Amino acid sequence: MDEREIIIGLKSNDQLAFKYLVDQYNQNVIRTCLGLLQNIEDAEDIAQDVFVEVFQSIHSFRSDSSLSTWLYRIAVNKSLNLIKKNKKKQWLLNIESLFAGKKISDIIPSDLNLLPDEQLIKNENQAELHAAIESLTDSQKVAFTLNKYEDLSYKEISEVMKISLSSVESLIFRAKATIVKKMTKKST
Amino acid sequence: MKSDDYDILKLLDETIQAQKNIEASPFFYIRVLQRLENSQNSNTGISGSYMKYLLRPIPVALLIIAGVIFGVGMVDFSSWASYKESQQSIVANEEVFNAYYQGNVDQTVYEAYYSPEINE
Repeated sequence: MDEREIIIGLKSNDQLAFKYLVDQYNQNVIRTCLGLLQNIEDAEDIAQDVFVEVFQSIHSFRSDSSLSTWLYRIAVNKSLNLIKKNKKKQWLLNIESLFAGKKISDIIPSDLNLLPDEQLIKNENQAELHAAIESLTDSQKVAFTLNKYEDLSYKEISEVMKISLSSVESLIFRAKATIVKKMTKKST
Repeated sequence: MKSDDYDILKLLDETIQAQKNIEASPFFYIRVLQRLENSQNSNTGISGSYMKYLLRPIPVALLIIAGVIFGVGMVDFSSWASYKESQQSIVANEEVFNAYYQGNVDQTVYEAYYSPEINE
């Protein structure tokens, strides 16, 4: 099934087309959300919302961009909305983390092939990366995530974010510099 | 580029690669369908959010009011008045008793307070 057939199928409420869409793109959407949210449960939750919205709003899709670009756009917007919502509840999350602690396994499950000390180092790196990505601005976060997690080209990222190519380059450069600076600071 | 920066970028790439290898839950599609169904159901009928916000506080408020009325109704206020009177008479009796033993009060006054006919 190509994109055109999927769109036609979705517009006529074809369940098979919807299943094909979900199977084809669920990894991409979850990875994008994971890159922004750094929490696997939130990422899956938002990914489900993305596909529900796609199904409900397919009639408003104008085909001026590709279906995948539209999917990424929805995923990015929903993830950023959740980040804003969580910022408002940050004081409550801070209190919860005092008792429960930040779960590293929320980001990535343990790798059974690694020794415990290797797993610990890996978890620390994950946590540092998470903190560094959290310190980025929303635009930098999006550009960096789409480039690193989804391997999108700068041109594709500019279509998703509706900004110029040079802006994308600048955002990614600044994002990398900020992350390197944060991770260098932590290691010294 | 400094070698430290290069090492950090390499570490960054490895960390991100590990995150990219996460697989979605096998029940993802079923969960999406369930969410779609819930979203369609919530848009119809009395389970709409407006009615939920209106209907939920009303029974809670009624319960509180009923509790207050029932609780207040259980209390016998006449016993408060007689309690207060009895407390006042205890204080008065004690004053007369002390005054009698100090010699400030006549026997007749003392007997008036502690007379068996009055206390019966």
